[in-house]
Amino acid sequence: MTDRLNFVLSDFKRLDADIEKLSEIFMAEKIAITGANGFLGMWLICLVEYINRTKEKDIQLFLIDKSCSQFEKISTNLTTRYEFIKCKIESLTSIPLDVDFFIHAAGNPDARDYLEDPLGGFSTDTCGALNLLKHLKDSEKLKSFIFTSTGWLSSKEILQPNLNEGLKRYVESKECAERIIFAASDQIKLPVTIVRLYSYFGPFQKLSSPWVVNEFVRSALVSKGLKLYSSGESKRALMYGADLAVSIAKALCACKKSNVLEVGSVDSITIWDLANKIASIFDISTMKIERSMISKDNESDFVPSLELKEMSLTKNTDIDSALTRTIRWYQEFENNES
Amino acid sequence: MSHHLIISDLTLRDGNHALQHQLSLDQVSSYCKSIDEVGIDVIEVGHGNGLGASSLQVGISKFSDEQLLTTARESLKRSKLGVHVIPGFATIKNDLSMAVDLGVDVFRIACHCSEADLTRRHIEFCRDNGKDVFGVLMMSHMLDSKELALQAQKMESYGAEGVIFMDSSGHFLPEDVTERDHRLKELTTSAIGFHAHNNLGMSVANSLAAVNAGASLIDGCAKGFGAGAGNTPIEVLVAILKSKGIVGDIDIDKLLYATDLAREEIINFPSEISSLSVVSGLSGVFSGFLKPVLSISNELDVNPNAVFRELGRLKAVAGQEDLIYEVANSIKNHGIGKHD
Amino acid sequence: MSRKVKVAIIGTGNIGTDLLIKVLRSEKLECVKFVGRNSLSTGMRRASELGVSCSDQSIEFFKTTDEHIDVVFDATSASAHVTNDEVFSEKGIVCIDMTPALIGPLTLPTLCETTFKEARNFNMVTCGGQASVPIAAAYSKVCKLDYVEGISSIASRSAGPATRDNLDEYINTTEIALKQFTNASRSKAILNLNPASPPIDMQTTVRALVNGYCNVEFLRQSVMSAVEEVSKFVPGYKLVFGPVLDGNKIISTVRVKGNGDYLPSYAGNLDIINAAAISVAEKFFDQ
Repeated sequence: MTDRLNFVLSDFKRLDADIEKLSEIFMAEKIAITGANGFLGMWLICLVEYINRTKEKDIQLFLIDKSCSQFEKISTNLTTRYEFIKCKIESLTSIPLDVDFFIHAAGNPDARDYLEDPLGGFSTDTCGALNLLKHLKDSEKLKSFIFTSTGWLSSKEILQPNLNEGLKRYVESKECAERIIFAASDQIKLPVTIVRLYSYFGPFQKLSSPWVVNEFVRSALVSKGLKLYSSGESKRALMYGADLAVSIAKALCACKKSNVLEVGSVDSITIWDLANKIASIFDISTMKIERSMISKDNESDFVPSLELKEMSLTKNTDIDSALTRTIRWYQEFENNES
Repeated sequence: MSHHLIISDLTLRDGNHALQHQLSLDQVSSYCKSIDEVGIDVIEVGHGNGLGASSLQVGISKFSDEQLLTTARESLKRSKLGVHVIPGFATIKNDLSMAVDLGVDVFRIACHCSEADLTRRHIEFCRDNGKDVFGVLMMSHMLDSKELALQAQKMESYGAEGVIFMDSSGHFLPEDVTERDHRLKELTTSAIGFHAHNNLGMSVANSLAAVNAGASLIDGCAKGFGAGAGNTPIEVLVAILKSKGIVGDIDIDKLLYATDLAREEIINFPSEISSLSVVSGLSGVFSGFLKPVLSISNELDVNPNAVFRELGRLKAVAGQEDLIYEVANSIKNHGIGKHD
Repeated sequence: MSRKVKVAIIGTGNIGTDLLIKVLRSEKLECVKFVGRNSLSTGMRRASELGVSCSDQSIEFFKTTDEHIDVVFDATSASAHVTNDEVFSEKGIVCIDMTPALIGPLTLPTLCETTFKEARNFNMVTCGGQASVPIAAAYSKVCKLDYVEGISSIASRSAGPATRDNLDEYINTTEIALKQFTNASRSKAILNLNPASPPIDMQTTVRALVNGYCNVEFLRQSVMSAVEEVSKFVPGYKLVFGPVLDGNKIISTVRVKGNGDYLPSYAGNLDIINAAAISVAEKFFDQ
């Protein structure tokens, strides 16, 4: 049985051609990541480990997150040197001066929490950003700072009045954070790039997360069937975690100061097709896909709207392999835990 | 997207209140078999307060949830089988799992209108098991429509496919229902449903108003059978909906036959709008207060109508029975209700 | 014990902070550390104002500290407690578990004689359990019970996200306690959140079905005695109805008004479980 780290490292082999081109990253001394314990943070840590191992580099990591529960599961096998500061981003008190690249990914991606604890969410996004910027003022060595925001800000759908209040708050909070960071770009000359994210899946995402892939996998594991709670026609641009990490690294290298980039899959898939793909991966012969008795109105697509050519990889992990890998991850590492 | 109106028959659950939860397996089997031929979407069965509610507090049911649901499951081939679930009474381990395993199709998870976050785990469980799941907001007149919409959004975020708002005290008039329905549809993407009570004789009119305002789910009981002033008479409502072309595939003759059968075999007395029902409906007071208000008013020799009005003004909720004594006392001493 | 019991509290939310105030008032307990995750939380700031030493390192503090701690109150969450207790166990710290994690024995101060030699993790059941089980046990002292049922109504305002999310665990743990301390074969626990404003005090009604004979006078004495025992550490715990024997049914109701230490007095539900926990910790002093 492989361990988590090695499972994920093997996913980067497929993307080696694109990784080879990340020359600026190879020259980095130290990369800082906030939200290090989350999905994106963990994939980035593994990417740096992959680079250190296969390209014989010694990039160090400065990691910040309020929890280290996932990180602890790979840290013993890491060869990369790291410092992990366990605190909320609002309480961070210092950042080393030798950081070359900074990825600010801290923040709650689950919009539902903005219904239950909106003040907490706003605090992380805005107070967290302000606090971080306070400590970055003196970082002369910093070449590129990326803030991960939401693709909803590029989407026209946000104008629909009946969007869930939680989602509205989440989006507005991210928008506020974007403005703060842009202002910093201007005032303290921070080399900022905003990256707007879409939908991702893969290892390091909790099986209990409310995203569509996780819901289908969970349902398949629990009830041996899949249910569509919508017509299945709306589209998602789903990207595998490994591809996301490499795309972000690519954005770091490009250092498009004061730009807004979108990072997401160029291919989109309907929920119906996704359900069918997942059903066919499980070797339960009677996996049935049922439709709900309620037909939903106003199902929105969540796909990137801008041209992605610049940031796209030469070779993406195809969705069938990515789904297979993800399901195997859950079966090996998370089935008993969640 | 087609707006198929989902009709739920609650005779064997909400009606169970009027029977002190003594519904028998024969009654379940007989009614299910006849209603199954009609084309009603969901038949809800169980103790009046839902799964796991059989207790000394609200009444021990004659037959267990398991027995009632097994009987219903065997007797329904066309309509779906549904249950009412109140977190705090029903647990996932003891109650929902059993219902899932027995083949219940539809789960309606209910709470007081301001406490939607209690329903999260139960809704998620039903979703994970691939069931149809809806949220229910009880006593919904106690929140204004914007606050109600926020609670509905929470349920939606947990995975409820729709949210049904209940007029538990029979307080609404059609314009109130229309306003709320519009607001809920405006602020959520889920389906919206409505459940009326008949304290002010408005159950059918209110239900129609809800449907016209865009509701996708509507409830009724045979002959309006239920506690106190009763619920919406399903045969009257559906007959009107059919005549307007809003529902298609329903056999009205068979529906009337089924409800007549219910009248004979299940309904021990017809629902009646008593004077107290009128007052409690107007004041928006929880119907369970009827008996204690009557007996305390009698004991202290005060007008029960005055007590209801004051309780309504104070927004008393179930569980505040001790407030009844205070209010009645105050009325007796001052001749008027307490004014802040 | 000749010195005060050295305690720590992990979890700086409402329960943890209320516990702190009670510890500071106790003559037998001394708080050496108030531990949480966020030094800016309301509880932490309050603790600092009161001159209590704090740490925002959460369970890490216990892993690395040299300070001697006799007892720790864990007011975090059921899932966190499972991992926390591994650390406490390793360090030989007695733990009073405020969550429904159910690792150690169910502990009610007036009903348990478990000593600190026999166990090192004490589960405080639930607030409804602390309110209902003493009454139910009082019934079972004078007659045989087939079934026992406890229903608690608490103010919505006093039910935080942890209570709401753990409703099922709450019910499960309370039902286990009701059965364990009465030997009834069946039990049921119901929790009702009441949104009324102004918030209501906690109210718990305990009903039971008797098997065989029950002497009403003995019943009354048993219940009154139980209420008196509990009110020694929860002054706001009062019998407001019963006990009444109606055929084979017993019913009585208690109301719990909180002490208002950190939370307002309507939060009797939090007060009773905290007061019970303090009472257990103080026994450590006596042993």
